[in-house]
Amino acid sequence: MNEILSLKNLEKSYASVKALNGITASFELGKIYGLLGPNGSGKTTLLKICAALSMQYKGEVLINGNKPGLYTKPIVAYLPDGNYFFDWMDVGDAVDFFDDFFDDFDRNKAENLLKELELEKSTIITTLSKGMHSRLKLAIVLSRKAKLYLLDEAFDGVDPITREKIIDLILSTFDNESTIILATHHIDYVEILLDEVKLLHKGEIIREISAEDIREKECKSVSEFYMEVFKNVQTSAVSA
Amino acid sequence: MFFYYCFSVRIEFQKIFLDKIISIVYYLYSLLVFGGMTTLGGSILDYNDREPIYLQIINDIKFQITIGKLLPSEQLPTIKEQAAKMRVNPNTIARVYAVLEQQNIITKHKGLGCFVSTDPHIAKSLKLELAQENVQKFFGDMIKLNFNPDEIISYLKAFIDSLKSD
Repeated sequence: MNEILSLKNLEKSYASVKALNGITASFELGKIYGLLGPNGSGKTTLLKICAALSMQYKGEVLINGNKPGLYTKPIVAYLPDGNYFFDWMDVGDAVDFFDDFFDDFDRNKAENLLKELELEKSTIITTLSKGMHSRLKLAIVLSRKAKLYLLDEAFDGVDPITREKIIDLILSTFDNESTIILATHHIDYVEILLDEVKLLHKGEIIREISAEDIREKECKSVSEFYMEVFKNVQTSAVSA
Repeated sequence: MFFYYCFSVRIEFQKIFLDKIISIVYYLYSLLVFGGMTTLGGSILDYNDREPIYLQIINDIKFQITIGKLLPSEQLPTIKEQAAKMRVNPNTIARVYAVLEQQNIITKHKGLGCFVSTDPHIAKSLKLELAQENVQKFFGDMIKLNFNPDEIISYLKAFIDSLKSD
């Protein structure tokens, strides 16, 4: 049992909106986690805090025993939802930038991935389609040899071929010295990859369960289980 | 199309009638499974996502051994290779290999990898094990439809006779 990320009573508010309402959770090395929840449930907020991009919060966040910041950034690779690069950059610039910035960036891997994902170095990033942009983000983030990968909506706007390539890429990067947290609402694409799922609703973790337990004990797919849990949550809110 | 599968799956018919039934049900099951399942690989669409994935993969490997696609002493892919080929979480494959090792179907040799058991009878014993599971399921399903055992046997015999006349 090797804990890489620990959250204790994590709270975060944006003005009057409580994005995270007391989250306590533990993540081990060598596992792939699904952070599942509807839009607005707090997934991005949680990942940003772990990625040390959001420094205002209450409660405790420890990555390998350190608070998010200087000592955690080198071991955390974050894939943001949305644009990641400067407008002036072409694909080659993005690779150079990451190569300069991170010690654990594997340049050879990046170059191979660009070829495999059909990305040309001279292409200006703003001219890339949504799917190609996703491919580039992933190629860059997964060329780092990090301990904790935080992937926010890696499959948004992605076509079936790209989806398969991304899954293959995730599997080839993952080993028992790293942990991947996939925040997504495209559950059916990823469910076969997941060790455990944590369901997030209105800033709180409402269920934590292993994917195989869902299949074995609830006789449901992860996707169906998610639907059931969130349907019940709605009805209990109405009756309250 | 049907007969292509008939001729490509060889069955040994036992002298005792009940064993014959088991063989026939297994043969029918093989048609369904052999026709529908890809060999140790494929995407999420090949798996039933309402049942534990590790159990499905274990059954897949047992089946491959039974039909001789995996031979005694043959080396299995590493956990990472297998996971990549099947596009599943490596921890799932680790669990599969652990269970198969516990059941003495495979052995792990430190530093060398995982190998199918050297026992030459393993294919046969797995065949009987899988056949038994199929028959149990088949009988259970038919009982649910309110067939009694005699009716099940005559229904099955009639079904097989109708196949022969195709």
